[in-house]
Amino acid sequence: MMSKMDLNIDGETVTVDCNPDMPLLWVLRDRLGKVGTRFGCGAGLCGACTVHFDGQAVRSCQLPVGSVGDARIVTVEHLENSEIGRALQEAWLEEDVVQCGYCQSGQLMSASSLLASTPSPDDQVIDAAMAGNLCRCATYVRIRAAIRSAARKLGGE
Amino acid sequence: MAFSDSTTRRSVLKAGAAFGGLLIVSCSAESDVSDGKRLLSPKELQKRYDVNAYIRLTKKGRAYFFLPGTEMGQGISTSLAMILAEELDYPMDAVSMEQAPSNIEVYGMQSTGGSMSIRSNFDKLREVAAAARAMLVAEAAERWGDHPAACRTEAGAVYSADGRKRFAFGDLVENASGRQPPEKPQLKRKSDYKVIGVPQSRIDAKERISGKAIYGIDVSLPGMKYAALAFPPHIGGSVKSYDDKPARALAGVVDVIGLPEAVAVIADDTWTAMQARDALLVEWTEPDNKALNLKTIYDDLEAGLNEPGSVAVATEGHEASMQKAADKFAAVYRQPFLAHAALEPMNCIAHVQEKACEIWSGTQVVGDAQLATAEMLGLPAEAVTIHNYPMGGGFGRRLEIDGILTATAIARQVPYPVKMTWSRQDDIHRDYFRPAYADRIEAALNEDGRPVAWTHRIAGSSILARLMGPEFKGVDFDAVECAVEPLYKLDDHRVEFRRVETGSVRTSWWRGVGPLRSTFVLESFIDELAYKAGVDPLTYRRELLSDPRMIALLDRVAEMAGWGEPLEKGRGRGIALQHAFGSYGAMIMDVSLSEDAGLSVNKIFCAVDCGLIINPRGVEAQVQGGALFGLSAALGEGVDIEQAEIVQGNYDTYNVLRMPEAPEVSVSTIEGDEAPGGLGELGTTLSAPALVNAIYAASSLRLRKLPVREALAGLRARGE
Repeated sequence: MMSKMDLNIDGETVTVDCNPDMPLLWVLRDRLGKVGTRFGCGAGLCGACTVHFDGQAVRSCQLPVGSVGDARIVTVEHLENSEIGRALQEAWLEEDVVQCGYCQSGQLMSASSLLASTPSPDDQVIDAAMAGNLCRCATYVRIRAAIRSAARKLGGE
Repeated sequence: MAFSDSTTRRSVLKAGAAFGGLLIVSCSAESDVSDGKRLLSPKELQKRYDVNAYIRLTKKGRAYFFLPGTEMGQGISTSLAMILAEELDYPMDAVSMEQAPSNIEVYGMQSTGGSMSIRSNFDKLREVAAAARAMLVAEAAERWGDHPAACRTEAGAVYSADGRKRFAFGDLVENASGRQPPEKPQLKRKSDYKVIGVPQSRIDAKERISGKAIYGIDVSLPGMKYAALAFPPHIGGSVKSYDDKPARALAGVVDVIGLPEAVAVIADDTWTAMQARDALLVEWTEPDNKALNLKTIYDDLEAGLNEPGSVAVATEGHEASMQKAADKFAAVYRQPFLAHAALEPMNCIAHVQEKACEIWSGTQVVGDAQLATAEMLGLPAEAVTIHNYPMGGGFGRRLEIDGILTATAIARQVPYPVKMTWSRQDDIHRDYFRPAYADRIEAALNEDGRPVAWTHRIAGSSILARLMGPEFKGVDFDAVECAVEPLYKLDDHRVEFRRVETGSVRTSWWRGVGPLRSTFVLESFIDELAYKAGVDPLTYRRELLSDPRMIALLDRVAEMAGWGEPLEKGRGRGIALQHAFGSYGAMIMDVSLSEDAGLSVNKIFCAVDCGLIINPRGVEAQVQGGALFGLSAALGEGVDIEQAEIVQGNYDTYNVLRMPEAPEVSVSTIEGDEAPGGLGELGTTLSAPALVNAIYAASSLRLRKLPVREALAGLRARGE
């Protein structure tokens, strides 16, 4: 059942010894102490656990760690190391997006994946890309504004 | 206030007047609660609280404020830091907030709810800060031989009378802290404010956008194990027997603990615990009423409307006014059970040792949690420490301490600390729902179609009855809030509350509480009366209002929305007004409704008057988020019950608003000199009535049942 795996997480190689069926979310949280990636629903419905899998936004609660292989996993804790990530974090502060903040790790990971593939999204594209990320405090208006603002600053017009 | 049993010790929200001062106040000790609203003098403050328990000034020039209550997204840490910075004369970036430790003697019950954080702390915090500033000034003045009144403070320093000498606060702290606090510290005048009223970004945002914020669920302790629970599928069920062999067979499973209402599996990580939980073979008791379902609950509520209730208010001439009416109009409204569905599922870490217990969790009721845990373990209160953490949303859910007590019940049976994490399904199934309600209002109208009197009966579960026990006298003062004081001029009115408990369905506080319930009904009803009279609903309301603050807000929101502009077919605007939590709100919602495209909300306009504004950015954020939180519920939220089971288990069936449905929310404020009002719940209460009124304007469909999407689907199914 247990198996040793080398994972590439936030730019580092880490070795974990666990059941390969365990979702990446719980490996991050309970085994590696990377708790910035949040648990919300366990069913890919809320987006709080979103990480990047070779640059793609994926729900880590739905991703068995055994299927990660040598993919580059990036979590919110590494987001500031990318230009898009930094621009989004700054926009999040400028727009004063955060309320309870619990979902914002996932929101930022989805937003940065969006801007990487679509540098200048309109509101409809933003809404579609972010529809999988719930914010119970309903900060959606400001998330939308922050994504628009970060896109502008990154020169995506 | 002496606490004798677990019922009366509960901090009952906003019911202070009714229960002799059992108020939720974050900075309170019981001694000043019993004094009602009288503020303690600084001397008393120091004696009873230790000024240092609230504020610590360091030699390096920083000020720390110890937050007795809880940050759950409402921004109080920022607003309270602003009040502190203002009155201390510190720059904002030198002020930090720290979570206060659990200590009933020092901080009181440390409760957070009822939109009370600013209201209950504003005066007290200013007094404490002003006292500290006066002590710093006195110290500097003495060293210079100046008169303290001739010295001034600015940005963390004291300046001498001639303006040439300066001491940074940090250099004065050590000696100043030994000085006698002034009997009556001088508070700043509003005209001198430099921080209060100036837009300020959240001081705790940075760690929340980098994954560094630690919520209760993120805490990790040496030797900690992880627990998941099997809960009964039925409402009110319990464990009959269980076989844990298949669970124990899984690698990483450490223990299985049977509780009366659940079986807990403890493992090396959360996922393994959840897998093993699913492998348990549990036989559950049969529910008391296996036929319990939402339809029969609604039937019971509506039947309750035909029974007399306990009278909350009845004016003397009510009966006569109702009898001599030129015309009458009545309507029945229905509202569903609502789940909190905060994104951080219920969780708690507990470590129980022989003579001590430690809890790590996010709670809105630190004092309650401490006392109840101590009682459960047979320990003195001071043997229990609650480490309170920011919450991934509270919305009233964490005014209940069931999660903490369940974790403690598990942890008392094992020697190591245990982190209990509920699944999303557990979180919804084991929620304490906002009660379902039915309301009936009948108005007596004059020849012009204006109401002269009305009779309003409310039927639903009573949260206060559960919390108060035998002290409950029939009227749920929370549920009837706003209903007992209608905004509109009436000669007479009568409001009754009919308690109808709904099987074993657990009910509790939910953002907006009583005003949320009442505002949907009252603002729907007044809108119906306006259309029935053939009068524009804004004009109709305005004529009947008497409070100038409310009238000014109605005018403001009408101007924002461009009320009266012609709209294309299928588009409509609805109004809602409210006065609660010490604040006023007015909303106009703009919707489109068509057969092809369905319902969409185009825009929300909201004007608020919360008296003195501490942080304009915080006000806007709370009103925006609150309005959309209310819209979420009004559009799609509702808990179904079938065969004594909760139908919804995750966000696929419990419909929380998502970004594509979220309209822009434009917020405007009217500032007054009145004491600051509460804001966390104001926006939430306005959305449902504004929405149904807008739908009526767009379509002539009057929806009296929530949620709206379900009501619309019901109409379509019947071909209406």
